[in-house]
Amino acid sequence: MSHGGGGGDKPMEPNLTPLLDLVLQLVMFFMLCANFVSDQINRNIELPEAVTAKSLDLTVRNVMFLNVNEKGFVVKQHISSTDVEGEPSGGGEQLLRTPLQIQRHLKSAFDDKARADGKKEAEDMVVIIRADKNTDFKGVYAILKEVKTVGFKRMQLRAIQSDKSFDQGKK
Amino acid sequence: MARRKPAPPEQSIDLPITPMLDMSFQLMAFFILTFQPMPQEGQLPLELPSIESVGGMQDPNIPLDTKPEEYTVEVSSAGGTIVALTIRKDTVITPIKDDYLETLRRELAKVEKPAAKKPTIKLEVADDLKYSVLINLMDACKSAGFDSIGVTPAKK
Repeated sequence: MSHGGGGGDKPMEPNLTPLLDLVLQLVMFFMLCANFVSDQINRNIELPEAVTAKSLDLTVRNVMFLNVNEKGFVVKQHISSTDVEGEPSGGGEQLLRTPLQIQRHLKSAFDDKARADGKKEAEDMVVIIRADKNTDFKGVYAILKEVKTVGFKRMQLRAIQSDKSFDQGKK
Repeated sequence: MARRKPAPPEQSIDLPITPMLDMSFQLMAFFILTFQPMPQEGQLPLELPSIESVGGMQDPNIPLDTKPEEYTVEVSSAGGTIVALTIRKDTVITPIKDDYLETLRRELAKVEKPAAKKPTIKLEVADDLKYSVLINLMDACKSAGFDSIGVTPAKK
């Protein structure tokens, strides 16, 4: 009867394959959660906080985003070199400064939708306004007026959901 | 006598896992460092009335052919911050303290709101008021039980 002694000189290596699987799972998670540049969400815009803001209704698909910076200009994501409305602001964005530019942008979207799906669908399109918290009311009001003038009937204002109470002072 | 060639020894192919693991760690580090969780966004739905009105925004549940009682809240501001709130020209909240929103909410909560004819709020807002302050005011009005809130520029 021999007792197992040194069974040879085979080096003991840990099995790295499951570790690699796990690391790839984590990479997939962070890739899926990564927020790349999008014409819908503009990270430079800081939304105000609202206690009564409702959770987003993700079933609504017929939407149009308007990002408004603190100067009251609509930030439009630059799509192609032929899209010359507005002034470029760098980073693939264009600023729509005047009410006429904003109205043209809205009218273009309204007409495109009406041509594709009918006027009713265009009127039912929800215009989502993401305005910076430091924007003056005058700028926001001008945009609301243009939205109404073009023919849209439904709008949403976006805000960060807050659970603060009113006596915590929000001047 | 034919000799059989001995079968070649079996060779196992080992994939170099360690460099692949290193690259995966590099990728993961990149995505972890660039990961930015988005704050939870909420929505404040509005519907524009079909008839021409002075900048009115209205809750879709209020039919336009009724005439609810209207409460006007005048918002006076200087440099983007509120200096006074006047409710229906008789209740004035000034000077503006830190709990002015709670005070506004309490004053508006005293208003009777019958189910058949719910009153509406009209906020008359100065042009230079910050948008965040306007949202806070709309918040306070909604918390006081008013679903229909209109916003117009202040009369000059």
